[in-house]
Amino acid sequence: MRRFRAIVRDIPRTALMVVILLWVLIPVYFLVATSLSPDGATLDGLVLPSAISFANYVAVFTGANDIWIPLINSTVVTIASTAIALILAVPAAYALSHLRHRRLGRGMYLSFFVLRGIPPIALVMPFYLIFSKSNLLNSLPGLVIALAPLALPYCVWTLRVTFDLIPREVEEAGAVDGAGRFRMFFSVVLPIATPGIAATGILSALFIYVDYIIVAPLAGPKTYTFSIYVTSFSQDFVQLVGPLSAAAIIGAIPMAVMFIISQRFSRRLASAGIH
Amino acid sequence: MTAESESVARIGSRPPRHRSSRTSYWIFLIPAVIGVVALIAIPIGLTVYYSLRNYNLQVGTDTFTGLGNYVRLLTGGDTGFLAATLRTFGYVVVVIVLDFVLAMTQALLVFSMKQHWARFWRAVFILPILVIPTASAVFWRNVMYAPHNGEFLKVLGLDRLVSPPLGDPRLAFWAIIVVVVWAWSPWVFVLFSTGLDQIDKTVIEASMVDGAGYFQRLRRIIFPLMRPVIFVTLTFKALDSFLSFPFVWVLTMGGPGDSTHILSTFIYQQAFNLLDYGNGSAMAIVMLVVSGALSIGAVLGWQRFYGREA
Repeated sequence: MRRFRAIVRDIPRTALMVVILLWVLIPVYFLVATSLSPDGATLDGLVLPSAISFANYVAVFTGANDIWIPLINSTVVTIASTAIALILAVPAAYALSHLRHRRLGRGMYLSFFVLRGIPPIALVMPFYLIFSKSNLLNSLPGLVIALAPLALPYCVWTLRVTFDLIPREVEEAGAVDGAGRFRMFFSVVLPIATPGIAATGILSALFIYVDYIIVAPLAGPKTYTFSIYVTSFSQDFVQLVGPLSAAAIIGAIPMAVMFIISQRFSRRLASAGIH
Repeated sequence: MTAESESVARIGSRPPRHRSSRTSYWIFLIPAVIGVVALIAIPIGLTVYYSLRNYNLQVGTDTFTGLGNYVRLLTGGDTGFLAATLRTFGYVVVVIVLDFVLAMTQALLVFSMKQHWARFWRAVFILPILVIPTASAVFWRNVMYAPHNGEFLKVLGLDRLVSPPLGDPRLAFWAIIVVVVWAWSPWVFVLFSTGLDQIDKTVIEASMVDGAGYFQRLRRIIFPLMRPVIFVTLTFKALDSFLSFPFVWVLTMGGPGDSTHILSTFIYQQAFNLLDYGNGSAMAIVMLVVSGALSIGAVLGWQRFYGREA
């Protein structure tokens, strides 16, 4: 009887769970099943593909519309932009952590949050006009420059919290030993802050990797990032649906890796930005 | 501990320092300030500059017009811009509400499970964010919403009753919302779920001993404890939805007609399709001012919740 009552009590929860799982997983099913369908075949409702085939994956890696260049471009651009943002942001976040009880220090910190909300469209127009006059259009350095400001304010904003968590006694001990401000920063503070910096860096890399609005006008066919590359399947030709799904799943692998690493470094995601 | 008592406590125990060390923290800000000037301030300055001109590559004009572009936008001279602005606010509100309901339900379901199951279902719930936004959008457009063979309507059994949603001005906006919530709401779920895990379990166990029902517990204990997390998450999500671009652009490019344009896509079209950089820049500056005001509002809101340390 007790058991029966427990089952009855769980009915609404189970029903809710089923509905949510259908919502999440039906599109996932279509994505995976489409990617595994034989060349040119499509599904018709919730059925299994007529046969499992990796033809779409092979096509993506070897076909005319090949995935290697966008994957390489994305890797280069993501790493370079994130590195620039971190190099500029880490010392600033450290300073703002120490200056957080000063009016100007706090004001600057808050202004980085406001900078984080700048519409990317307001940045990409001038970049486009500058780049078109200086040969940086369709170039990887151009993309790196234009993507860095997307990550910079976010990095300063989240990294200050990382430095806030380092006990001041650690630095005071270093000061007694006579370490200068810079030596202390590099040899005492930075090693302690590394996990936090890594977590922030990986999350901002993730958002650079998925960016579309900055890259779309500035990139050409040779410098397409992965995010642009997948839109090249956008024509309504049914036969492109298979390779598109395969490409989407391949592009999800770096996302999964970045997501898992960032979770591992820190469960403190409370300020993740989502564009 | 408040900011004041913390700093007072520290002054008492602070060892003597070199005179220079107090101020030298400002030096560490130099790289970031240079970065902000070069990568943000100068480009935005250029946008302001172009917003004062009728710079249009299609027509071939480029002369100073003062505040002409702004006057036209703010007096409603461009109905498309006005509609896109209103639609952007509607978009933000709808996305926030749906994300909140869905992500909170998911988080509470996972929260009530045993550890290993919780971990498994959490992984399942985040699957959609692993597909990058443009890929999600193209996939939904060409498979789920495909004009002749759309799986979305077929699964619901509506394929003979309803026209393809992206081609119908009355449905396209909501079709986009479905994709946005499916693809990007798991971020909200992750943040809610992390927040729930940080709640002190003994408080909840105590309430169960007291015989509080589930909804009572939710209303009296879990939601109040979660309030800061909910507030911060939703303000971030609101700001980012305000700037949203890829889903609308890839799914409909603002169409059919202009029925799904939000600010980002409308300005993008103005600049890069119509080559009207003057007007586009003025619109971008208006958008920037609104988004700046929203950001400042968010910060002031947090300070009310957390005190000045936020």
